[in-house]
Amino acid sequence: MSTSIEEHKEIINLLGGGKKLTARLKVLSNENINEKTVYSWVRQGIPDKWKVAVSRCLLEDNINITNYKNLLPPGLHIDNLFSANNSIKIFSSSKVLKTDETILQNIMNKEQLLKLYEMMINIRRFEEKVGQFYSMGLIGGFCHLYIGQEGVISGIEMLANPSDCFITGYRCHAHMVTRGEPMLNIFSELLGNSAGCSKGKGGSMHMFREENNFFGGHGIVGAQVPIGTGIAFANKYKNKQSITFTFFGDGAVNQGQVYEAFNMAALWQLPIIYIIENNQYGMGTSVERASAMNELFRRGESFGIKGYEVDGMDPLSIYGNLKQICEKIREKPEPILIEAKTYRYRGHSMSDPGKYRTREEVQETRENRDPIERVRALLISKKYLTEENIKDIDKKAKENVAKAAELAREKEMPDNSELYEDVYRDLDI
Amino acid sequence: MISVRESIRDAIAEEMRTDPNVFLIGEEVGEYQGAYKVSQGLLDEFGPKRIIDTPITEAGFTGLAVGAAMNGLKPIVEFMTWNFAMQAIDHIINSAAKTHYMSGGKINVPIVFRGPNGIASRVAAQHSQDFSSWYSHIPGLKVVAPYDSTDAKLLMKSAIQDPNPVVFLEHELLYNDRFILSKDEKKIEIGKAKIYQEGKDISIVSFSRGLNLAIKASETLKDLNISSEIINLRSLKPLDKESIKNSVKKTGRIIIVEEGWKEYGVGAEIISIVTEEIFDFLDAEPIRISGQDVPLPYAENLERNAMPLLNEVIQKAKEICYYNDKN
Ligand SMILES: Cc1ncc(C[n+]2csc(CCOP(=O)(O)OP(=O)(O)O)c2C)c(N)n1
Ligand SMILES: [Mg+2]
Repeated sequence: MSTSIEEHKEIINLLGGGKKLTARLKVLSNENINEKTVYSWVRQGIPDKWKVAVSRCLLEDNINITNYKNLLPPGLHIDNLFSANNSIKIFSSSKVLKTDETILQNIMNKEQLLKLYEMMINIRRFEEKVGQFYSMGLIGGFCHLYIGQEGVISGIEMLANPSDCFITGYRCHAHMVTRGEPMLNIFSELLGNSAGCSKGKGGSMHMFREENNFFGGHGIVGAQVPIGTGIAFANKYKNKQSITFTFFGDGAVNQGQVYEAFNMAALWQLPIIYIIENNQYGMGTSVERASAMNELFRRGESFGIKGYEVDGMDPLSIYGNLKQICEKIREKPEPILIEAKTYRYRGHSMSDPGKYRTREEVQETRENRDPIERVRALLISKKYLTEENIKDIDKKAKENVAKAAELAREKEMPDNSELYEDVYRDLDI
Repeated sequence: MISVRESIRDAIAEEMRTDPNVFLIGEEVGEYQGAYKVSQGLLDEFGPKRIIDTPITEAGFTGLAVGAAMNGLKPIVEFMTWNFAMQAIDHIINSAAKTHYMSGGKINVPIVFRGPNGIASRVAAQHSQDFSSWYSHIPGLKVVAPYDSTDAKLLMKSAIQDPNPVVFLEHELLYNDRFILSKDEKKIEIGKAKIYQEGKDISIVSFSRGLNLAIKASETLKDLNISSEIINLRSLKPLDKESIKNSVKKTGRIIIVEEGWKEYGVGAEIISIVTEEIFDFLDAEPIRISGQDVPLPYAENLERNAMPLLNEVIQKAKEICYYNDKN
């Protein structure tokens, strides 16, 4: 094994030598640095305080940082599966998590991979059918599809415990599917009939499955964040081991109540993971046009909440990174912020003219980063499945969805008397 | 003929042309041209300094706009819908409505809060609600609710010119409706109702989209020889008590049609005024037709039944006019 000094010398050379590295570090860091200092590292090694920034340069150049055992960001061990780096602020608690591809490819066994694939394909086929129903005029009002973002919820479902809790905004159909609600009930709700999971009273944005701790679909942007925090509060209060996964968007991050919630979660060390599903747009407004500081994973720093950016188009990365984080939280509760970089292929809702982005942008993401395609390719390359098998799975998913959808169409409208039911819960006598 | 949507936009544009301190701020008002396209074209004409896209941060930009109004500007704050103004209601009430009074008249807040209010189509309880009585409850606010294009255009101009905070309640389901702009009316004073149709047997009072029910009901009633006087309130606060009372003095009967819940509502207020002040003129019990006392459901049939229904208006009108179906 090379000594630390030799290794550091090699790294500096790899990064183009002292002069080039100095320039790059100047861009990355708020702190002053001059060439003389950087040259001195060739003899003395890279001081801890600069290791994070240097690792960032390596990552930018696609150099595998795990090769360099002496260049670990402070506090991180090589046997952590994940290399970490820091963007801009040295010693910040927030990190971009990039995981070695070979690690990712082996992170799940065959059964897990299969389950993950089926979960995602189910969501996608379900949402496609919903889109169809909408264009047939069978669904009213707003309807927000999750197509493109399947990897986020699915990666998390693969590591969640049965007692864990979930809450999200109006883009909630996928969460209902993965939380185990029969598709018939979800379709029925969308059609506004009596078999709906909210008896037809909630519609697309308001679905709940209390038996699997899904606290719903909420229509007011950002409101689910303090509510999720309260769910975590109750879990801690009752000494439950559960983690609360609270999902919200890149648009929602600018609501003030998000930060009021962060503060309490940190103050009281609540067992909660906040997941920003950054699909790059809040309606027609891009993150750049809405957020002054758009490294959203750092939005918890002033409360001491550690933040991590994860590739949300890769369910394996979501799974691997969050699994580790969850294990820590279960031992010692604390809030964590995850920014899952993801993308929605469809419009914000069904009436979105889509002028704020190009077709090419959507197409390119679809072709190169699709979460389902990612797992499909892995299943094939590992020879877990053949193309034939995959086709069978897809066909089965399609058939299941179609069956539930057709059944839902046969259900009746709610009885008119339902209008006055459920406003209050009756007193237990 | 011009749509209500365009009329609101035109009024904003005209006021922005004459007063450089007027600006529009809200979510998706600029590049997206407005979530409901009310601000279509305004960014092109006035540029991003005066047509301002905000992050989704209602409490923040409402407070900011109130501050700007205190310091000499005239903000028009668009709420994508009034449902989302609940995030910001503290600034509307505690900051905008009360400051003039609390400062002994030193500081005023010339600001317009606007956006679609009331029942939308199939969007369920959190996105579908009438806030008319909420804001009309607050001293220091003026509250207007246009019905047709003339209302929309002239009330918006008056709202922008007003030195006080004005809550401007639009209706999504009226945006596309087209009306002829009145040639006679050049200005609508906030606080004045309009006699939409004269009549002698019954007064039907409504505002915003409720007018559609009033008008349709009056057509059926006409065939039964019942003549309805229709009052379009236009302003909810201040309320034009005189127009209402004068009408009831003539007809002796009153029905109020509103989309919101009748419990503690606009109709409740009007009936209180009528019974307190001109009780002797009433020939029958006053009636409220309103939304049902439930959160608005999604399912089509339930949603329909949760709203005030045409048949109810006609039926109740017949009852209090002692109309006998066997006649
Ligand atoms: C308080 C509030 N303001 C505005 C809206 C209207 N609205 C619904 S979704 C949305 C965009 C949210 O974007 P983001 O948080 O990025 O979530 P995404 O839709 O991308 O999943 C807006 C402005 C709302 N529902 N609630
Ligand atoms: Mg988004």
